[in-house]
Amino acid sequence: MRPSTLCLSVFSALAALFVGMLLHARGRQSTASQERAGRVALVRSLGLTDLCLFTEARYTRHPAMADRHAAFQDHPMALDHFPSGSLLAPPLFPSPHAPLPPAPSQRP
Amino acid sequence: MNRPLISLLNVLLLALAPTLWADTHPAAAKGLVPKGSCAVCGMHVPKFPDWAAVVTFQDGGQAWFDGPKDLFTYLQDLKRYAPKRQAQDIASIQVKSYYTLKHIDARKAFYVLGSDVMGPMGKELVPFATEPQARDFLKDHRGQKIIPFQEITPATMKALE
Amino acid sequence: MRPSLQRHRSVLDFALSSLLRRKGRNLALTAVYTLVVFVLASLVFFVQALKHEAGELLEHAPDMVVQRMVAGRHDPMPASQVEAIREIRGVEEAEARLWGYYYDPVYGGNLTVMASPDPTLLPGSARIGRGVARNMRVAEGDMVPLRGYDGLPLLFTIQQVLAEDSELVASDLVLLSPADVRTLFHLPEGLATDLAIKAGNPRELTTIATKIVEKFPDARPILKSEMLRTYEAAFDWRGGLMVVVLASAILSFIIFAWDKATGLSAEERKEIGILKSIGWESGDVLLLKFWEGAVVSLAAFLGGVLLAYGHVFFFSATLFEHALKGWSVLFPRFRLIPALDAYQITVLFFLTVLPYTAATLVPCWRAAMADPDSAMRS
Repeated sequence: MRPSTLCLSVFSALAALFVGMLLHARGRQSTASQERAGRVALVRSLGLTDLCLFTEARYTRHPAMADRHAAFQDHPMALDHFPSGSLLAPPLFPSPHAPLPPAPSQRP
Repeated sequence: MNRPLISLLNVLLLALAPTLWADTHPAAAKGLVPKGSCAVCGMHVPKFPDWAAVVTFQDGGQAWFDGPKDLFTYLQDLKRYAPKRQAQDIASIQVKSYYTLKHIDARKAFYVLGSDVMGPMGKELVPFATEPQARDFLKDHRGQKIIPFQEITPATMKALE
Repeated sequence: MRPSLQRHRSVLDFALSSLLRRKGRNLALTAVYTLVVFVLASLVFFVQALKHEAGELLEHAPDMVVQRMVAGRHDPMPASQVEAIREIRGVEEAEARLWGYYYDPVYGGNLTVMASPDPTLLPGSARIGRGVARNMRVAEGDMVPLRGYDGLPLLFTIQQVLAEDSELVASDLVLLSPADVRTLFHLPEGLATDLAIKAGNPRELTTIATKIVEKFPDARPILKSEMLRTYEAAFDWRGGLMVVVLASAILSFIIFAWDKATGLSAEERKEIGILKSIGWESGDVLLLKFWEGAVVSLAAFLGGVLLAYGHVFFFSATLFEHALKGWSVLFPRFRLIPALDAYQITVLFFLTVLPYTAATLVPCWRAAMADPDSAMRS
C-alpha cells in the first residue's frame, strides 16, 4: 500500500469524526431545553441570579449580587486572594444601563 | 494550488456551516403568535413581538403589523391595503399593551403620542389598557397626549412621520 | 485519476516518507502541537458552553434585584418595600427573597442557605444540593445540624437531594422554610435579604429602577442585563480565564514557530539542494514542504479538537477542575451542553494550522530559490 493511501484514509476518518462531533453537538443542542428544564425550574422558582461555580466566598459565589466593587474588593484592578479572582474581569461600572442616582435634594 | 486540500477545507467549512444557524429561538409568546410580514410595510413581524398588532376578520383571516402605527395606516386606507375586505368584516383588532406585553382590544385602548419610546418604525402610538396607565407613561416618557382609538385620524398619523 | 492529482499523491508519498525518516522528531512535534490545540480548543469549548448556559439560565432570573446598601455594603431590607415597589407602573411581580451564606466549620464548605417559596417544605426539613450532600456525606432522610446565630445547633431532616442536572445552579444550596431561615440567621420578621422584581415589559426596567432609587435612595437595583454581563465578561474572549491561557499558549506557539521558521537545518538545506540538482523545480520542493506541514498541522488540529471535545463534554473538563476549584471545598460537578461556535473553530483553525504551514514554507522557499550547488556545499 502506498503511504499516501493510508494517510488519506486516516484523514478521512478524522474528518468524519469531526463532522460526527458537529452533529453530536447539534443533537445535544436540540434536546438542550429538556436537559435544562430542571435547572430552569429552580432558577424560576427561587429567583436565582448566579451560577454555582466558585463557592469560596460570597463575591465569587454570587458575582452578580456582590458588593459594588467585588470581586475586586479593594479597587477595580487589585489582585485577589483567590484564584477565581483572576478569572473574573473587573465589573463594568458605571454601566450605561444602570440608573443614575437622583440629584441630591435639599435636606430639611 | 492543490485541489485535494481545497476540497478538504471546503468539506470542513461546509461541516461547520450548520452550527452557524444552530441558534434556535424558543417561541416565547403565549396566545396569539406573531407571524408573517407586516401588511403595510412588509417587515418581518416575529422580529418585533413586543409591538405586534393584529386584525382578525370574520372568516378567520388575519393581518399582522409590526406596530400600532402601521395598523392605523391600514385601517384608515383599507381600500388600498386590502381591496377585498370591508370595514365590517373585521372581527377583532388587537394591540400589545406596553406595560404587560399582552394583547388587548385595540378599540378600547388608549394611545400615547410623542413619547421617547420608539417602535420598530420610529415614532409610535404606544397602546395601554387603561387611561391611568397611559397617564403614568406620558409623565415618565415625555409623551404629548393621550388619544383613544376613535380619535386617531389621518392627521394624527401625519404627526408620527 | 487526473495527472495533477497523481502528481500530488506522489509528492504526498514522498513527503510522508521524508517525515517518517525523522520519525521521533516529527512524532514529538505532532504530539506537542496536538497538545497546544487540545488545550486551546478545550478552553474555547468549555468557556463557550458555560457562557451559553449562563445566558440560557439567567434568562429566567428575576428582571431586577433590589438590595439595600448600608455603609457601602449589602444589608437586609424592610420587606414592606415590596408593597411600595409593586405599585410602580410596569412592575408585574415583586417578591422578597430570603437567603444568606453559611460556613460549615466541620467540612469547610460555604453553603448558600435560601428560603424556599414552596409551602410543602415544612419547618424542620431541608432540601439540599448535590454538592452539599457529597460534602457532608449525607443522603435523603438523614439529619444535618446547622449552627444557629447563637451557637446552638438546629437539626434538619433532609427531605430531598436536588436532582443531579441542577448542580450548575444549585450545588451548594440548602433550602429551608422561611421560618427556619429567620431562626438560623436571627433575621426578624419583616426583614428580607433582597427583592426580586419581574417587569411586564423589560424596556421599562430602567424607568422602574430610577423610580425605586427615587423612593428609596439607599436601594441598589441590579438589572438582569448587568447579571448577564457579569458572566459575559467572565467568559469573554478577552476576559479572565481566556486571556491567561490563550496568551501563554499563543506565545509559546509563536516562539516554536519562529524557531522553526528561522532555523533550517543544514541537512534540510542539503536535501533541498539534492532534490533541485536531480531535476525538481522550486515549485515541487515547495509543494513537498507544503504537504509535510499540512499533514502535521491538520493531524494536530483535528486530533486536538476531537480530544478537546471528548475532554470537555464527555469527561466534564476534568483537567480544568483544579483551576476552577481554587480554594473552594464544595465544587459543582456538571455536564455541559456543547455550544460550538463556527467562528471560534475557524479562528482556532487559522490560529494553529496557517502559522505552522507558513512557518515551514517560508524558509524552504528561501532555500529552494538558492543555487543547488551552494546549498549542497554549505
